[in-house]
Amino acid sequence: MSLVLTPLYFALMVFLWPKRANVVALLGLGVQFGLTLYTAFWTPLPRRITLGDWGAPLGIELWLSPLSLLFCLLSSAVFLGVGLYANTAYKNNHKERSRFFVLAFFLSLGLTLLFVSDDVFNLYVALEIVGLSAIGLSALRPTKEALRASLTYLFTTLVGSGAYLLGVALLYGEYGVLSLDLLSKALISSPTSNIAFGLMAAGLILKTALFPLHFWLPKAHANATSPVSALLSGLVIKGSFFLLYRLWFDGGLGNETLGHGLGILGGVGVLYASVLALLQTKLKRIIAYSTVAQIGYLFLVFGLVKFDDSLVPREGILLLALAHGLAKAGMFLAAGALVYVHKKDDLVTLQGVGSYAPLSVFSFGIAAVSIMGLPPSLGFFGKWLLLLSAFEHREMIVAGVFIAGGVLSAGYMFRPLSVFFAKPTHTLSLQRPPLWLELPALGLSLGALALGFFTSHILDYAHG
Amino acid sequence: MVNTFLPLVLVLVSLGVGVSIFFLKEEAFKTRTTLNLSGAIIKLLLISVMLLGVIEGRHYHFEATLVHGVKFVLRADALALLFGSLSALLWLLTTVYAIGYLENSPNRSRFFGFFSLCVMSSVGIALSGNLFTFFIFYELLTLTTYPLVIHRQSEESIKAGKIYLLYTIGGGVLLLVATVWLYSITGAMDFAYGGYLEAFEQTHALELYILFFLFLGAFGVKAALVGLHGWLPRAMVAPAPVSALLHAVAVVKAGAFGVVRLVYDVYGITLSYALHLLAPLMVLSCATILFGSIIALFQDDLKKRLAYSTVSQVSYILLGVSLFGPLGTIGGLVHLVNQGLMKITLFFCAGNFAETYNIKKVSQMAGLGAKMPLTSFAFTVGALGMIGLPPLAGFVSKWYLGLGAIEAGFGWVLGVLVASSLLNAAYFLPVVYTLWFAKSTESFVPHIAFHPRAETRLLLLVPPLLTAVLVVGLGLFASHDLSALSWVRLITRLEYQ
Repeated sequence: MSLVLTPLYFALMVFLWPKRANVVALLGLGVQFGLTLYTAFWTPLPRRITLGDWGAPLGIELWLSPLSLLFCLLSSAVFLGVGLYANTAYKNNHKERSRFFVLAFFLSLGLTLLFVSDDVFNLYVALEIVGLSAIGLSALRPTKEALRASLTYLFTTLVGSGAYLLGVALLYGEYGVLSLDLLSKALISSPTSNIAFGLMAAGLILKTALFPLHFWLPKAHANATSPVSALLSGLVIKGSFFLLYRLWFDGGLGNETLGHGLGILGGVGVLYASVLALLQTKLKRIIAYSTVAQIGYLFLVFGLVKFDDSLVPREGILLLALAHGLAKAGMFLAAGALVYVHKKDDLVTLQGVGSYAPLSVFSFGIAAVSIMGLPPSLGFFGKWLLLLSAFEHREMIVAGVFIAGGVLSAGYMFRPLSVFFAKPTHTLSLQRPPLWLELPALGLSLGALALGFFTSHILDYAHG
Repeated sequence: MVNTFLPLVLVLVSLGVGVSIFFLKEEAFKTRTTLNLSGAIIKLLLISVMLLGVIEGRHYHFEATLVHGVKFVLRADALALLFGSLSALLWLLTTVYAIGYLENSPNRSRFFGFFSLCVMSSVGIALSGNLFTFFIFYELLTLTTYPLVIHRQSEESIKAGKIYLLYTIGGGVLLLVATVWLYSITGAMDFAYGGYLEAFEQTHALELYILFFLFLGAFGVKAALVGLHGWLPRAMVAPAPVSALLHAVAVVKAGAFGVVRLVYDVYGITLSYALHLLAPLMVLSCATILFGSIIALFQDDLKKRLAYSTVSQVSYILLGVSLFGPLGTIGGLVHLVNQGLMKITLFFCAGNFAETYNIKKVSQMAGLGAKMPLTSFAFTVGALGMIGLPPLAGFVSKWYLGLGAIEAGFGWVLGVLVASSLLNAAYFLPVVYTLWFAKSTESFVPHIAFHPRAETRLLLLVPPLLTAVLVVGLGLFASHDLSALSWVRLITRLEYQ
């Protein structure tokens, strides 16, 4: 329980003492990370927590499974990294800093709730908290583009959660239960439940930005400030994806036709977004389109499970999601430090930036290794499992998408890298980014790389 | 007795050295040099320990499960040690050379950091016990050599880096596809003497046939098979020690070594023969041998000439592999070592000419022999070795390749060998002639500082002289128990048992 409440508590603290935000916030993020670690490794899992002794079907229940804890770990680790970065980035702006941290704690609260809740309405509440705090964050620096992007973001996220809520209402009217567990037992295939799930899925897909519903993402993610982009790309979309994943596999709501459709959209999305990423001229746009492409991979799982009923595709997706969370957050933070030198993220201005911030280029490169799915990163092992599953069933088209996506990602990742490595265009001695702006990115990216060696441990843990 | 520890340490040494060097300040010359040299020496010692151990029948094997039965395996078998000892030895020499070469140039920490990581990858490739591990290190090699290729950061080198990536990432993708595909058929992937695919000959013959060419494409990129060699001459913009390492041990050898593993320890020589895979390989390697030599004739830029010569010479290894029969195998494998030593000598020398007097073209080299007699001498030894003059190392390779061709019943291959030797002579002898006998037309002004009585910096001079001595030694003492040839004979016995 304290997992959920800690962020709330610290959100209040930061709100009350905005001037001390640096100490309070970092303490809060540290405590959160520690608590998650403790819960994940030193308490019995899986376990069900009933709030105020009110059990299902009426009360609120939390379901702590190894899977949800893995995502909590991802989230608290990313928050810690981003928090360290933000603390330095907003050093001279107390107001912005305290606003950032209040919203970030709410986001953390929402995500944690999303990962551990077990009934569809409670999950809706979590989804709304996540959505609203994410919008608040994306509008943190009120430039014209950022405000416009966050308005679109607001609109889509409301439509998304509205559709989801409508689905929940339909399900509740049909079965009279909200708990996922009870729902999966009661569920029978009927037009109502199909429509209900269709609505829920549509809402979540919109929020996760699956092609072609991705239109809002590049703008929102590229125009936000770097720590916010890191949170949005690394974590927020994982929230809605995780929810869909749980409804599909734990709630028993998934079906083959829809899975096939999602798989196809995912595949097309990978290729489409990768090509667009290749065409961008701004660094953060490239990273944002790469996120859209990576989301495409995640949705391939719904198509793959159709013919591979083993756990392999699901494990692959789990690894990819974790890897992307760490690597993409690291990459956005690294980009933030690189942009710090010139204050602009056009590739042309960033030429030779490696001479000023070699450490950040290094972090960017390591994160790119995971995004491209090269060994020995965590991303590689996710891709390996999915590719293996595709080959074992001779699904050559799926395999082809993976291969093509991999090649394209190498293209759009090495393009900025070779720009960073080039000779600087002018010999001005520019200011190097402060060390604490560079280290968090390194930590997160190295995490994505090094965890590859522990793949089998992660999978063993996820299986309980 | 199985030792699990040593193979891992061998890889970790270079990793540790590489990572710590990144954190050193540019000016920390002494610390960096100490780290570099002690890393290289420790590595060489460890390899020697393992060589002796393998002779005594010890096993060195480290494994860890990564995911679902896929293991990370480092294993020191005889073949691994052949490549491993070559790379450890040449790393030491190249490190010494690079320290001399890069004196006072910028970004040395970055350079030596990646340099170490690159060597880690190549030792990893040597010790890989299965295709999966091989793939990991093969990709790491791409990633760690890229920053070395573009080290100078000029527009030309960034462009070369781009082309290098284009080729090698393509190769990496092919390797990934082939590895996954093969694993989905066999469910096993550990290298084994004589191969492990025989059981699938009946059921999956067509797929195995296709897969072989996917693998060949993947390795062919790095081994610079004709058509896939486009990156190699362009990558010449890299600093001389990098070119030396790339051509002698790291990149092209990784490709060639991959083919060796593929034919002997994945498919098995018997199955490769039965599936008619060796003939296409033979044709390809012969084509590459002739192509590389012919193009080399027309290069005035010394490093480019050497680059095309590499294209040609590496395919000798593949030719040996494609000849069914122990003698061909011996010729190919021994050339893995011999080519490495000869080519690194030549590149060291080319680097010395360029670094000392800024001479990069063959046509400018007239009279240089008198100015730099020792370097020129080493160059001459390397060049004559390449041509295959007895008793130098290159002769041993060519002799066994010729015998192997006759044994396998391909008389025309002898013709290719003779033609290629003539071509080798045609593009190397003019260089040697210009060095020693042509009349000097220009005055040489050194543009680096060195001791007035030496011909160049000492650190640049010693490595090529040592490798030149080895080129002579490997030829003269080929039949000695500790020579590369004897070791290769041991491997061949294991493969054909």
